Formats: sequence, structure tokens, C-alpha cells
Amino acid sequence: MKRSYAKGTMSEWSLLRRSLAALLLLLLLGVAGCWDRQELNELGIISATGIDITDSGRWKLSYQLVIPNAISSQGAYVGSSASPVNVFTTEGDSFRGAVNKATQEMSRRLYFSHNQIVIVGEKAARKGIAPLIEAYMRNGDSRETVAIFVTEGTARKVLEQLLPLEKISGAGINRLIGLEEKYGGNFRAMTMFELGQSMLGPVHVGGVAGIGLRGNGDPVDSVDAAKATHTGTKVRLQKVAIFKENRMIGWMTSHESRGILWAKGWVKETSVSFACEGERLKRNSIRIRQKKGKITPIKQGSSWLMRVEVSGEGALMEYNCPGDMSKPGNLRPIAERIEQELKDDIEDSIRGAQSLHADIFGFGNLLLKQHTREWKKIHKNWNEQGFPKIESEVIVKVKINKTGRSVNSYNNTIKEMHDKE
Amino acid sequence: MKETGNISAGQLAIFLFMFSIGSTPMFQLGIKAGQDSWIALCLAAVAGFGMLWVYRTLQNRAPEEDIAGLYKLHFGKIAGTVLGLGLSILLAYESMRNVRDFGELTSSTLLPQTPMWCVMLLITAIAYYTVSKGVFTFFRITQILFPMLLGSYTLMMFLLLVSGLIDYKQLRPVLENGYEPVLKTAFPDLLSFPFSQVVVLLVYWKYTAGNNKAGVATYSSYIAVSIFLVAVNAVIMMVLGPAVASIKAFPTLEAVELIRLFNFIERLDILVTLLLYIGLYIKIAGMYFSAVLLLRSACGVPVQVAALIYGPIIYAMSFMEPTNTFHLWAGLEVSVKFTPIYHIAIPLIMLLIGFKWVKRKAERQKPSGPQAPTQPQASTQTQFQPQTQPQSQSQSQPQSQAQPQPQS
Repeated sequence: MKRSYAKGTMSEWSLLRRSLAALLLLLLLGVAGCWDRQELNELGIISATGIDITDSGRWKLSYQLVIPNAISSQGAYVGSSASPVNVFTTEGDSFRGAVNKATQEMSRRLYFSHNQIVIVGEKAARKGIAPLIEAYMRNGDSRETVAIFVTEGTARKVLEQLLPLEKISGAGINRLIGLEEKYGGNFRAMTMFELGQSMLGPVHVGGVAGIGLRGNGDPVDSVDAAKATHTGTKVRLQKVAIFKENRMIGWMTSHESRGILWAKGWVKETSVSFACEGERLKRNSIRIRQKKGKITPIKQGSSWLMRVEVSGEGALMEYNCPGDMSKPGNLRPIAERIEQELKDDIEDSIRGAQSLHADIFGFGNLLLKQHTREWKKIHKNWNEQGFPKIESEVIVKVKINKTGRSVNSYNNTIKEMHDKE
Repeated sequence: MKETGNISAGQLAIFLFMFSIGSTPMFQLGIKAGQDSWIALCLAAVAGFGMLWVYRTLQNRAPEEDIAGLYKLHFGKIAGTVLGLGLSILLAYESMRNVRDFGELTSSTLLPQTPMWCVMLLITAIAYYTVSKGVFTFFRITQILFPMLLGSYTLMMFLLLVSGLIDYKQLRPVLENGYEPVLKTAFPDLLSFPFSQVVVLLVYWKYTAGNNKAGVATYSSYIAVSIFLVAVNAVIMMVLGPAVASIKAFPTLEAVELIRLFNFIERLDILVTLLLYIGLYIKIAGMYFSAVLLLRSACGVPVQVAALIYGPIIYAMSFMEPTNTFHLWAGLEVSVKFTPIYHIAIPLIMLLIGFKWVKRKAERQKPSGPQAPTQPQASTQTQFQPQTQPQSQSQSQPQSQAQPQPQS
């Protein structure tokens, strides 16, 4: 562009340009998003959602609404007189229909982006959760990364429960499962996305951690409960709900859940209790970290054998059995007892899954990926016919890295001294 | 503000790279082949490379012509004008498609309440402004945006990797149902979009005329972007798996939304949106611009006028499709079936019929252009004197474009 206008016209140009620039700037004001602004004081922030179903098959959605004023001070719900959350329920034939009804009773627009958990009541879960996953996948404001739980009773009861040390119990439960996953090794957070993905997978089976209320039955649904030194009812992770083809078909125990996690290689760190030789009570424990969790399908004639290889290593936490711990060779029998313990966990969980007719381990998945042709022949009715007949071989390897700050057992040494005297 | 310099080989390579990425992050290309989409993409990329070679061969017959000029050389004046006009309209249509994509994307992710007319008006206005500034400005803009695009992609891939979402097993089983579905996906759909869209280079190549690095730059850029697209496609597939990827409207966005790190790095939609905005802008402006340039070289309409004609048309047409479903269907199912006429069939015919004689014809015509001081040719006036020619027909020299000159 050659710009060679005379000096005299410069000012005219710049005047025109200035006014143009001003016009553009004015236009920019309009672009700033008048349509999509979201003012904090016009929103009702949801921290948890509960899903129940009525007898007539309508969805009952409960929301845990965060009350900003009540949580503005530091600390737990102790010390404030207002409840940090408010729970309310709407009903509708569809999810979003029910959400929309909230405008009839809530003065603020519901905002789902900070929703951390979704709790599904057992009844609703058994009815089928496909519409729930569909609603989450289609809408941008409710993210698929929310953790999902199933509860034996109604979901609303869990939402009403306050947690000690946490102001917003929805966020608290999310933290609870995160902690469990990291240090507990019994349960694993399942996001809506993962659940949807596993339902769409070749075996259509997924597991969701169960959450329930335990205790003496007095609900902790008022800040007055914080005046006592104990809480009557606690929120607790328990059992795992097994979903098959979008419907919950049954529960597996925590013990079995642990087996699933080990076999899939999802355990990060956990404690394993084990008994001394010849005893039944598991008086000893080890803190163990999973190194390996691998399942390999091996063809055996016309059927398949699943080889589950698991390994871990850890440090002894308590040890009350006899034996000289200063010799490396003596650690091996101890490790073997831990291995047996884990083997039981895994074998029980496989048996449990087989009796539920739900391939929660994704054996079928492995067959599809590694032996596609054979899988095509057997994939029909896999959960009902193929999977329950699968044989498995569980190989566990445990290494005791450290024995802690003691060498021999204190308990045992006392006993030995006593015997000598 | 000098508009007289040639486009460098590097600029051309960057433009090709960004143009090819374009709106691809919006789709999981080749999803019909399930977990083998990346194989389909590979095959289409290889075929696309063949087409690129065809385009380049055509260009080499008359380095200073654009595709409208080439049409005229091959098919004669009248047929050439008609074909050039047709391609110009097709490119405007494709530009319009991207405007609509831009609108749909914004209204379904970032700004759900903002009316689409406003979003689309803004992007069309920006594209018009770009076009009015000339080819070189546009190429420099792509240069400026390039690091942003690459940076966003790198960050995205890094975060996906770090958050452990990538599961290579999702790509198995490879070729579950044999080659047939893969081939069906690759041809013609994937070849038409995105690979053979590089046909627009036949409009821009003439600005690199005389630069002997241009060919190498084009080929290497094409190879790089193909590998890049295949890699990104495979990564998204590894994150989502074929089942989810086929459900979601914006798979890349979905994959990125899954990133959750250290309890605070999450909801990184903005990263993908940035990618898409840059990509879509390049695509919209690139198509719009090539439509405008073709209108000039086919019918002699000056750039500024052509830009003013096409701008409102593109904007208005973007409302023609009633719904997004229709829009996506028209784009991924219908238009990929007829664009190959222009992208593949006609260039191949030209390659066959124009063997040898076209090059001689072009050389015969060449000397007449620069010698005559009054530029009788509209389409070949950029040759030989890049320093003095108002190649881009920028706004400061309206008189040279005001009279549509008949073709010599």
C-alpha cells in the first residue's frame, strides 16, 4: 500500500480515522459479552446432585446448593449459625425438565459447573442410568468429570448430611473418595465419563463406589450437630455397585472391590492385614504399594484362562508373630502370607463378579483387543455365558522392602522373655 | 506497509500448515472407521500428497498464473472463465461453512446466550478486513498466529500425557473389520476434507513465483501437517475411545475437558477454543481471499469490489442452513461428495490434456504481459516485476483495478 497523501490532508485523514477508531471501540463494548455474563450473586452454585426415582418413574433431582454467606468465614461449619448448604428437590419426567422446575422455587439460576458429585439412589440406579449419562454428555454446563456414587437409600438423605471438617459436603465427599483412592485402595472414584465409556465398551459393565450412612441413625443435617463431640451418622464409602448395560444389577463387597482394584492395577497404596501362621485373626499389617497389575488371556483348548499377575512392595507396619526378622530368608514366609491374602481378595472378587454375570474386570475387553477373531465368536451373551465359565490363575508377588524401625516383634520378644523366665 | 514483496517459502509453508489444520480440531476425522480413523487419515494424506503433486505440476506449467488462468490456458477463455467462477463460488461456499462452524462452536461452548448473528458478523467482518488488507498482510498474520497455535497444541498434548488420559490400547484392535471400512472412510470423504482443500494453493502459489524453494516448502509442510493431523487424531482416539468419540460433537474439546491436574488445572476448553478460533479464522480468510482473487482473475473484478461482494454473501449464506445438524450433514456427507469434482477430477483432467503444450502456450503469452505498459491482462499481471506491480491490487491503487480488462 503506497500512502503518499499530502500533508494537508493528514489531519482530515486522522480525524476520519479517529472517529472510526472511536466507533470500533464503541462496538467493542457490545462485544464484551452482555449476553453471556454471569454474575455471582445471580447464581445458585450446586455442589452435589442426587438422583432418585418416584414410584411412577419420574426423576427426583435433589441439589445441594452452596450458601455463599455461610461459607465465607474460615473453618468448618462449626461456629457459624447458618447452614452452609441447602438441599431441595424437584421432580420431572426428564432430567433437564426437573432442573428447569427449579425456577419455580429457587430465586437464582442453578449453576452446575461446580457440581462435584452425583449420587444415585439404588432404586434409580436399578431402573437405569442411561438418561443421566446422556444428559451429562449433551450439556456443556454439567461436566462429565463429576464423580458418581450409588447409595442404598435415597440420594437426598446423603446430600442432607453434613461432614465434620467440611463446609460443603459435596466437595467433602469428592475429597473423601480422592483420599480413598490414593491411600485406601478399596474404592476408586468413577467419573460420569468413565462410567459412560465402560458402558459403551465391549462388555458393557462398570462399577461405581457405593456411599451410605452409618451410625446410630440420628441424621447430621443441622449445624446444631456440631455442638456435640461426635456425629451420630456418618457418610461412608461402602460396597461397589455393579452396572451392566446401564442398569445396576447388584452390589459387591468392599473386600471384593479391593480385589478388582488390585487386578486392574488401580491400587496406589493400601494396608493389608494378615494373620500369623496358624492363626485366624489378622493381627499384622503391611503398607503396600502396587507395582504391577496385569491380566493376560491365555487360550486353553476352546476356553480361556485369565492370568492375573499382581505385584507390590511395602513396609511392615505391625508384626506380632514369632520369628527372627534379621535374616532375609525369614521375610519370605511373611511375604507369602500377604500374597495369599491378596490372592484371596482377587479370587473372591472374580468369583463374585462371575456369580453376578458381570465382567467387571474387562476380560472381554482384553479378548477383543488381543484376540479379535476369537472374541467375535464368543462375544454374544458374554456376560451370561462366556464370562462365568472363565478360569483364572492369580499370581501375586509381594516384596517386603522395609520392616520399619523395629527388627523383631516387640510382642513376641516379651513373650519369649516371659517363656525364659 | 509494502505490499509488493513476494511471499517467502517459509510463509507459504506456515500458511499451508495452519490452513490444513483449520477446523479439523472440531471433528474426529474418519470416525466412521472407529479406532482405525488414524489409518484412514494416513491413507487420505498419502493420496492428498499425490493431489498436491498434481497441483504443483499444473502450477509449474505457468508459474505466474493462478488456477483461473490455468483453466483458461487448458480449456480456453470461455470455459476457463466459467470454471474459475465456479471454483470461486465453491471457495466462498467453503468459507461460509467455516463461518457457520465458528458460530455454532461459539454458541455451543463459550457463549451460549450470545446470538449467532453477532458472532458470525464479527468473524466475517474480521475476515473482510483481512482480505481488504491484501495477501501479504494475511500471510504475515498467519505467521504471527502460528506460534500460538503450535503452543496451544503442545500444551494440550503435554497435559493429556501428564494427566494419564492417553491409553494406547484404545487403538486396538487394529483393522477390526479389515481394510474396507477404512478405505471407504478415507475416500472420498477424508481426501476432500481436509487434504485436497490445499487446492487453494493454486491461488496463492503465484505469489511465490520465481522462488525455487516454494515447491520444497510446500511438500515438506504438507508432510509435516499430515503427520501432525494423524498424531492428534490418534491421541484423541486414545483418550476417548471409538465409542465416545463417535457420540460427541466436539471430540477434541471433550478430551481436553477431561484433563484434571493437581486439583486446579481443569476445564481447559479455552485451549481448544483458541485453537479452533485461530484455525477457523485462517480457513475463513484463506477461502474468502482465494474466492476474491479468483473472481478477479476469472472475471476481472477488482479485489476490493470482489471482497465487498463476497463478504455480505458469505455472511448471509451462513444463515441459510436451518440447523447445525443440517450444516454438519451438508459438510461432512454432501459437500465432500461434490467438491472432488473441483479438487480432484478437473485437476486430473488438466494434468492429462495439458501435457507439454500448455507450458509452451503459457510461455508464448508471457512476454506480452510485462512489455505492454498498460497491462492488458488481468490474471497474469503479477509476473516479472514484483517490485512495481500492484500485485495484491491493494486499495491504494484503485485505478488499476477499476477497469476489468478482457483477457488477451
